[in-house]
Amino acid sequence: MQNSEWLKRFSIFIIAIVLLVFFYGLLNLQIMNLGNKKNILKRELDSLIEERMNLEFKLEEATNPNILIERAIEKLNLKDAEVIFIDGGSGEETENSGK
Amino acid sequence: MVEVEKKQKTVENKIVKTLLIFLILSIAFSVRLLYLDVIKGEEFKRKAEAQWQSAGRRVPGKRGTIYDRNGRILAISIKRYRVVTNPSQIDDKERWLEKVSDQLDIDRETLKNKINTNSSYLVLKTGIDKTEKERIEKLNIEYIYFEPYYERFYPMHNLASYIIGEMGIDRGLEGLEYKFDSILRGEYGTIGFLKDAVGREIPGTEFYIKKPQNGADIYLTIDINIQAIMEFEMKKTIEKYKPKRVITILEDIKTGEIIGMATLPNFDPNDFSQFSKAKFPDPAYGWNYEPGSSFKPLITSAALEEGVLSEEDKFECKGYIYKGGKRFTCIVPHGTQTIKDLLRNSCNVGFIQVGSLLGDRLYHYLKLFGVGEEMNLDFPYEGKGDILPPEQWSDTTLPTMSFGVGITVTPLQQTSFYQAIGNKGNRLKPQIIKKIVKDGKIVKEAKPSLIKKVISETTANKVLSYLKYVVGRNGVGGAVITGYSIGGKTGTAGVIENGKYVEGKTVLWFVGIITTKNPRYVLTVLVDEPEDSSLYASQVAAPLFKRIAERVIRYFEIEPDEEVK
Repeated sequence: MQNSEWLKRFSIFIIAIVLLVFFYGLLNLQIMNLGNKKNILKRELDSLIEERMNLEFKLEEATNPNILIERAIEKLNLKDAEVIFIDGGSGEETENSGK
Repeated sequence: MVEVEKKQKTVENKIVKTLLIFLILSIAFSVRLLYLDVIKGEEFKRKAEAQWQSAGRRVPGKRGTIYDRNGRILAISIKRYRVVTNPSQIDDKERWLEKVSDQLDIDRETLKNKINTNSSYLVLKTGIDKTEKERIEKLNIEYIYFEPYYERFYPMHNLASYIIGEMGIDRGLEGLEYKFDSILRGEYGTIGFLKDAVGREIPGTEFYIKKPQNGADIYLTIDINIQAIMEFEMKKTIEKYKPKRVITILEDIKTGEIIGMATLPNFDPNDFSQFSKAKFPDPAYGWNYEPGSSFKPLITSAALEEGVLSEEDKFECKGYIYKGGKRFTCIVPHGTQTIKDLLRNSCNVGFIQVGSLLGDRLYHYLKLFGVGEEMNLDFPYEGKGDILPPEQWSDTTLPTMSFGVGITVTPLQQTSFYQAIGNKGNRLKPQIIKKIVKDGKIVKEAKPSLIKKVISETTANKVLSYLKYVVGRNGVGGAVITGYSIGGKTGTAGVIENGKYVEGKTVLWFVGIITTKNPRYVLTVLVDEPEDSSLYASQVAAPLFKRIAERVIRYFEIEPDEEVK
């Protein structure tokens, strides 16, 4: 086989190795990039979860049955008034709202 | 020509040799690269990190959330931030102080004293939420960092506070927060910090070395709306009769699930100063009370089950009876009565006679019911009540025990006894935990758990019909709900302090079944030490039972089962 033939084969082989190393590096960079993106998305997700929990807590607090009752009494201006429960049984009993 | 060819060959040979060397080097480099990256990569990463990271600090996982049976949040851990700084990093302290004290609303002098130290870590403010954090971040103040942590919140405030309990700095102190601390807490992780040139931690550079594991979520059997109804009605009783405390428990007869359980006055677990004034364990399951006449259905059950009593048996009440050299009385002479009338009139004299028929066997039946026995509840510090064994009985023990005196039970035990009567004699374990969920998977789910069959179905049904008779026409009018076959029994008992009855102190009971034709719920009401000790349970506890029961009926849309005349 002639030297020029060897040269060609070696050149291809070397180029292949160089390309392999190059792609390996590129792949590593890509992985790092995706890792960073994943971390950013994870942080965003955590932040959204945090936000959701805050909102859930605020909603629960605002719709706490005790607070709803107090708000209703206040809204209906029932200060020093008597609340008559007519929602069951005899409906005869009267109680002071205590407000 | 030959000369040229020779030269060309020499050049080609040189190129080939160079390429060969290059090839070998490339392969060697590639192999080395793979070795360093793939095989040794992790080790080098650790070594590198160790040079600029601190060893790490233990951090808890997010504590699990506590929900009611419908998924409403009762206790939740929410991320908050600490604003921290490293005073040794600050160059122009005066300018920094001015900016920070203004924007973070911190007293300038206090802050000045704090930062003039050699410390590398100083907490400036805690409890910062996300919005506030973002506001501060936009100010671009140098040398301040944010450290996340979890804070426990109770959105329902006072509601069900005795059940839930309270959290300390890093662990549950009372109630379910205490009992289920290890399940709610999860697993600790490790957090690392970057180090400065002299090896001190740099605030705000935290990262997880080992991620903490979040705790499991707990779903309770209670319904917060029912709990609110109970507490709302109880407040009215407190305002009207000014008792020391009021306890109510609503239990599902078929499953043993506790739908609501309230002790008032209670506390807001968000306010630690209120918690420190609360009495633990929750009196609803942790304190022993004398049941008084509300215990008579158990005596009746025992006598029926033993076969020493029949519905037709007659008992004479002249208003008094002598037993063990002591005179026991009723308010009025009740005359000749059957067992149904004994219960309706709450006749002590009659029940002393029933107790005599049972003798020592009463102890056997009360133990069978579970008096003096723990129920292995999911609550901490469960009470178990007291009952003397026959060998320690005096001449008056049996007579007094026959009408619910000289014996103690917890309000939850009492609820459970009536649950057994309502459930064909099958006593179920009272349950407070509906399910435990970890990472979206149910790891534990409550199922009805039979403690014991305490009486036969026939006996249970008979006693149920008597309880209905007690509340019916001419009975405890305060507990009557038109259209519904409510059954129940009042009880007025004394208060024992240091082994003696205290004059002027009473405990008023009403335990009722909703409804006797189709038993679904048992509701116990206990009014502890009303201001006026001359009041009867029928005047105080029964009306509270009625108010709560009416709303429970509406809430669960229970159909009427009695004809309205």
